Amino acid sequence: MSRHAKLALVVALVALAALPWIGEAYALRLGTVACMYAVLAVSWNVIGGMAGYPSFATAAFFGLGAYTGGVLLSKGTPLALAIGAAGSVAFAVAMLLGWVLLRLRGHYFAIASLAVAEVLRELTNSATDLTGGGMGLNIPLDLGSGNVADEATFFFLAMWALLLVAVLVVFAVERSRLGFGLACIRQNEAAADMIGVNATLYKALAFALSGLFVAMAGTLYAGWVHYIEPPDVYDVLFSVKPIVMVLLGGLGSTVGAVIGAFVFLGIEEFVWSNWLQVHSGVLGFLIVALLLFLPHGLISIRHRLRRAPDAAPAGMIREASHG
Amino acid sequence: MAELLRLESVSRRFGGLHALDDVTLSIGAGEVLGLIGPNGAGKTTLVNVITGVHRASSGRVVFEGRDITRLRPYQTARAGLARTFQVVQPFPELSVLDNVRAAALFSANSAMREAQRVAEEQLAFVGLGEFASMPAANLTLAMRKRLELAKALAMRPKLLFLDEVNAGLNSAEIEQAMALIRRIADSGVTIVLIEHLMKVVLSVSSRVVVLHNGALIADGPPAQVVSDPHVVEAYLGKKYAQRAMEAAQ
Repeated sequence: MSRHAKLALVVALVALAALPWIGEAYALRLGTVACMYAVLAVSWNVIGGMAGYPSFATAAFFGLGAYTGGVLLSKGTPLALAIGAAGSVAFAVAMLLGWVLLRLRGHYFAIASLAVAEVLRELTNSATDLTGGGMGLNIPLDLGSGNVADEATFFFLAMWALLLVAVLVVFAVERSRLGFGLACIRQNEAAADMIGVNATLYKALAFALSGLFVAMAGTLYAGWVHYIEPPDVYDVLFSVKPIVMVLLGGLGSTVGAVIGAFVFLGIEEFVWSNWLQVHSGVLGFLIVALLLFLPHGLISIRHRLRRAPDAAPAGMIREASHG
Repeated sequence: MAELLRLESVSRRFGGLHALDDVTLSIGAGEVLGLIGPNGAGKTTLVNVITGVHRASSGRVVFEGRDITRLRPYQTARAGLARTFQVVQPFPELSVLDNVRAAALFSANSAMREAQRVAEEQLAFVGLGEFASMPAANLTLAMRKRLELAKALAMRPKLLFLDEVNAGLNSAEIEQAMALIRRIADSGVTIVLIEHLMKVVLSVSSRVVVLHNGALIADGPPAQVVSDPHVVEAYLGKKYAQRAMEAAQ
């Protein structure tokens, strides 16, 4: 990814902070969801795009973060502390799970990671004393102002700040030894092993990073909506949507992941408001069409405009040859 | 000659198959050891067991006096063992330079800038300097083999396994490869050369061992080993071995 694209993204994100002063309630709600989606997509891209392991564990981390943070918030813990705790728990859990699960590859890993959310959902359901179980969990978060508009602004800015931090951290990872090692692992894990990359550690770190910010977003979500229940925060769509967003934006690209998340939300809202009865079907159709005709994502449009149409950008060769 | 690597009764079974059967072998520092044997003899398995890709079912692997039997591949790589693969294994999306840079970086825990310098040096050594910025996927087979070699050398190995580096090359390319191997050996790296081409083995190796059905059947100077009746039998069958014996007498 070129440095210009990264810089442009950061500038655009910083500009987005002006939204509370120019948009009304609907725009603010949409902006909060957009930032949350982008956090999920950027995070998934670390394990799915950079390391090449198709994880379906995003919902697990989201739910884990929502409940860890939610329970703490309901007991009166300050929001910042609850977010930090949720992030740490998710990071540690992902590290341990990753050490075991990342021995599986391809579809096998995908299926195993899918099961994590189900297990956590059952655990949350049965730990009634702590989580409220199927009754759900009320989070009476008092921000002190009591003003609905102020609260909406606060949660938008919090989600926005989380996205900015996530993007900057992932940019740093891309440039680091870890990012280089993950690129090697994705392209040829046996060869990466052979040159001295500690693949088990690197993959577990990637998985943990992909859980960290998602869990933090989960806590913010819990505080924002004031009420969570297991089917809501462990929803499998939280696992599937980030993958679609990243594919939409361009696999392996952080800038693409953010663009993909925003565009996905835009399409989702548009389809939902125009075809209420069949919106899921139309959304699915649009996504399939986009992926078919733009397999390298929106980010590849740049390359298409600049080069001959058959010259795929260097980063896309593997996807092209492996379907 | 100081001993660099020692295998003590190393065996490796895959189910009922004895891929390696009680192999005991010592490799001295500075040797160029030719490892030959018919297809399926267990040559690549032997390399895999030593480098930790497969774990020995029984026996011990000792490198520089240290037991490395249970080490994982990335750990043996950092200990000083490098290999090239029979089927070349580049990182296709990375540039040629980055391929080598990765090898220098992760094997030695060196700084990014140092890795860059080592990578450029090794690329120049194998003659790929001018292709540094090209994606590895675009190289020809002969160039990919040289890239493998550059990657292995960038790891600053003490022991280097060259697994069929000449397979699929034409005779001019083989000449170039042999010259490279000799220069690597001259620089003090101990080499285990796995090779089908007898011409290469005989001209480069200081000692040859023969693997057949997972067991070592001969060990000695190249000329002596290739005339060993057991070796001839392993390659060409009993009848031919007898005839060769009679002819020699």
